[in-house]
Amino acid sequence: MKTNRFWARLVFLLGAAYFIVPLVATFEFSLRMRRGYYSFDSYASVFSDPRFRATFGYSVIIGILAIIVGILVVVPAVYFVRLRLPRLRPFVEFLTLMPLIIPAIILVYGYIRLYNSSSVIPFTGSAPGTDILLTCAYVTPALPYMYQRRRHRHAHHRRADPDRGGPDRRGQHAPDHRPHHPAQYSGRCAVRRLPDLRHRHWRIHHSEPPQPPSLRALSTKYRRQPRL
Amino acid sequence: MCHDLVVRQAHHEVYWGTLMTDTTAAHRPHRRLSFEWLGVAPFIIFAVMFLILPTLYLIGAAFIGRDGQFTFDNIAGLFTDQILAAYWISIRISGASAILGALIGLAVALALIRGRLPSGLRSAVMTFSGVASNFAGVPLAFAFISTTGRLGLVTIILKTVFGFDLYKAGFNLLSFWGLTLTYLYFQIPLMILIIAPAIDGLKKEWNEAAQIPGASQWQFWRYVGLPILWPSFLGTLSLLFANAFGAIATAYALTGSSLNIVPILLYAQIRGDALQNPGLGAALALGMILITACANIIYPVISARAERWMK
Repeated sequence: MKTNRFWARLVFLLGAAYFIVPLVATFEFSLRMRRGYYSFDSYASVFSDPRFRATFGYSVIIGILAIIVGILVVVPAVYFVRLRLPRLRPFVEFLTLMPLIIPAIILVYGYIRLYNSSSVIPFTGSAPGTDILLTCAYVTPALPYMYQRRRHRHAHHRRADPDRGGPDRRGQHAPDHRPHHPAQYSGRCAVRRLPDLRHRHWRIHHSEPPQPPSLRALSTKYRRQPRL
Repeated sequence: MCHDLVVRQAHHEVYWGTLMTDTTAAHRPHRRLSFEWLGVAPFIIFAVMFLILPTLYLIGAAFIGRDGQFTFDNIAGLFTDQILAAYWISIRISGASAILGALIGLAVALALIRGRLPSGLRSAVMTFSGVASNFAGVPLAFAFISTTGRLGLVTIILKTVFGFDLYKAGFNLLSFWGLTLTYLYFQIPLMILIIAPAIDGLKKEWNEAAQIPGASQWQFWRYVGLPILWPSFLGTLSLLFANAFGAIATAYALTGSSLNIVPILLYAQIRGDALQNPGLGAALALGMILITACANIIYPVISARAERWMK
């Protein structure tokens, strides 16, 4: 096991070097404005340039707008598809995975051809229209990461408990929320699963994790009930 | 008693948003349906306007000639030496950066999660990966020019301290391997981000269970660990491929138009510098869509096998 640890450290250090050296080199390069010695003059000249401030501010505003538009578009869809319209789920999920398959440059090429100044919706014809198009173009590639399916933790409790997604008393399964695509497992998402506080409540008051219910408990829980 | 059941049923329905009995489903108010559709509408409209229509428009335009008639001329126009070479270089660069990125990312993620490194390291690396996987385009190109360009930090240190001239040894940042090296900067973090949850899914008990009958670490990874990770690995590989295949800003900032790859060709078409045939540009886009779609179709086919174990 000791060699295991050695290799882990070696791999990690090599990886870290690959990622840190370009950042250091960029910083070092930024100090080389004056010949022969290091100075912060390039930073001074950039920050005193009104054009830089204008473009930087524009980037920040478009970025914030993209976040807002993305949340406004995705969150209601996630809510309604998850709770009210489950039959739309495969369709919506396919749509959110499309940006992973279609490169951004193709979408941009499509926007330019479709929304040029002589089309029905001339986004590129005016400055505000271009801003709208730019914002939406930034939202599109983020869709797969914003619409992330619930991760399936505690999956082994699921077998017989409808409260945790197992079969209910009619033998039907609650919707299963395992991801379709590995990208949906990743941490790059805006809408995460809400914490399951019922479970946390259990953990606080008991020292061991909840056990699957016994057969006896199940037979009591799922006893025949009169139809309402 | 009856009241209690009704309350329990109602609580269940409210909590899960499902209607458990058919009788209540029949009395479901019709009005709510339109409200529900209203909630999904922004997403659908957005997706149609900014995902489906542009794609369909380009696919359609690939089959329409200058005179507005249906034609295969644009598709036939792809089969020229320059465009075929561009596709081939693109596929090679994307493939190399995806395979290397996936292998290195897997190694780093395994080292991080299973290598018993200090515990705080993991969240730090994950945060950094989130940043670095989006660190593409002009800043990335600049970082690599100032690192391994002709006047870059590493080039100069190698030359002055070790007496090794990187560029005399045949390295060139504006080449196949230079571009691959640069792409790895966002490919490896993406791999780490996506594969880490899959590695978490490997239970420690499986390793212990394998050790009881005397399996070595190598045997555990050969017969248990890697077969389970394999589908996630392939799925991420195809994602990385598509990611590199569509990367334009990095390549363009790094090489200008000196390297002949498909995104740069398409970009030149957008700028109106070259080709001068919108139909051919659409055909280029169609070719790219087909290639990335083929790469990504692998995943759903294989993922069914992984889910058996992840349940």
